[in-house]
Amino acid sequence: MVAGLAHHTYAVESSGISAFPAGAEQSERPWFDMTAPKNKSVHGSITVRNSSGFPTKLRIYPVDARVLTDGALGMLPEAAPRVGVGKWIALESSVLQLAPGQSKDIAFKMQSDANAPVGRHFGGIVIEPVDGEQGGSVRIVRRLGIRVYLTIPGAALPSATIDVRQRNGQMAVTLRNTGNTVLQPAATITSSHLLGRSSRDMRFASAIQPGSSGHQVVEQPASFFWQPVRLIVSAWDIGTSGTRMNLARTETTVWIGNPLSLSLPLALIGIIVMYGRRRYK
Amino acid sequence: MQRIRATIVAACMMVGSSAFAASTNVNQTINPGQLTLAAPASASLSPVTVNISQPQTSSGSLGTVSVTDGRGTGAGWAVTATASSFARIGSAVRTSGSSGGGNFSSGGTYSGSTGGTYTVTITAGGPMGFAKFAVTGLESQTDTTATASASIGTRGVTGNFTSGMFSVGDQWTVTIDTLPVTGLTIAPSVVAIVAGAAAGVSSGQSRAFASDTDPMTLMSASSGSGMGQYSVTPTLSLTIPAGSKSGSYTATITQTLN
Repeated sequence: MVAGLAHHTYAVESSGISAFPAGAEQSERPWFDMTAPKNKSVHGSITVRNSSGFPTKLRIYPVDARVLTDGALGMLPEAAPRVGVGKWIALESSVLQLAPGQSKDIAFKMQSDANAPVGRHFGGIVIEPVDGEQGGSVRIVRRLGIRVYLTIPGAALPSATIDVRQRNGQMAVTLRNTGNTVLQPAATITSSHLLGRSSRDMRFASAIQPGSSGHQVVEQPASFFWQPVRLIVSAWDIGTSGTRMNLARTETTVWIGNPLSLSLPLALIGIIVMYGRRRYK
Repeated sequence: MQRIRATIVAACMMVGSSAFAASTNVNQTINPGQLTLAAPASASLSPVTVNISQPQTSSGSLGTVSVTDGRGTGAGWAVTATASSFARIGSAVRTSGSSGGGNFSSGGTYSGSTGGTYTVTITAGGPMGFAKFAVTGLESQTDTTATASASIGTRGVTGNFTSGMFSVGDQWTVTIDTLPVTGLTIAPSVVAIVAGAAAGVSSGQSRAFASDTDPMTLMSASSGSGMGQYSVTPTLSLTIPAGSKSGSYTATITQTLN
């Protein structure tokens, strides 16, 4: 057997923990939206409250985040490498013990790197209850996150180059960030062939820093007939609010399908030609 | 005479109306509630039997993921998920040293994305708590005290050094096998509305993870919506490569509400 039994071990209700920027509990924008030049620090504070009837122990840590194609902000796991906001935030405390009904403020300082790209950066401060190990083949960790947006002022010049290579029935798409902003890219692949036209979106697994490249491999369009397919790959940046901003576009023609699929029509043409010649004679 | 009478009536009406114009302000404060996430602590996938020639698919449910937004601000929210690869930590196998000495066993939950082998070697002899060990292979580590719950690397593997004397050169290997996270697909269901308005609340799209740092949306509420209680019950589907080693594999799915 490769996996375990199909069931949930047990359900756990929400831990009664809430967290928000200090003094902004009733805000319609309960997150941090800060602006600071590169290498300059800004300060903030969060409030963590235990409304449950039990004492609770929490871990608090910063993470990087990325805007998803549907506009939601996805915070990365604790173990993910931190290169942006998650790296730049220093919390005054990483572990918190709260009695029932108790609230505590945790201050933090955020200072970007001296060579940080200009533009908008995404991250979060995560509050995670310290649970014991659970059974089952899938362990589920539940976290609360407070969004942190940092804008580093400057002339933002997003740009990229795109390269598409075909190999073994797959397409390798490489996007190189040639601008000075962090890209949260996606791409649309449009294929036009003899039998029609289709398009689909693909995502890059992570944000791409200036000077770096992102790679994604996707299955090429399926076809039984061997035929030329014109591929248009256009990359776009999801931007700050899920809105598209075009980055780069490339066009290429590839042959797809089974070359043997040509043998049947060729044989038919051959038979017709031979039959025609006989009748002509 | 009529003018005097009218003046008196008008004066009485003014006095009367000013007496009834007094008003009392009534204040009502609505304190904000909480934004909370409820979800099962664990889930399991259906068991499969080793297939040496064909990939297989295992499936299961993530359970009901429920968000209650009682803040009363209409700020919106999102529940996203990331997943690690499925991993199996093999038993420690002694490769050097006397079996009559101290014992060592492996445990923990591996959080890395690729498999391989840890080699654990005693570098300073003595009993548990005094002996020291080094780690090579998947990660490197030096001069760590041998305890009952020692960390082997940084990816969640633990070593249990039990009573007995450890000698320099005692050595064990621990093999880690993984099923890649790229084979894991989460399909969120339609949103079930327990309380509140439906507008602006939607579930995420079904898809496979591209990596262990690839977040996907389970459910979200746009700004001005989502004040109420909503839930989704996503299904899990895992592609198991042909020839995978048998055993119990575990993964971690991290759900974040923001």
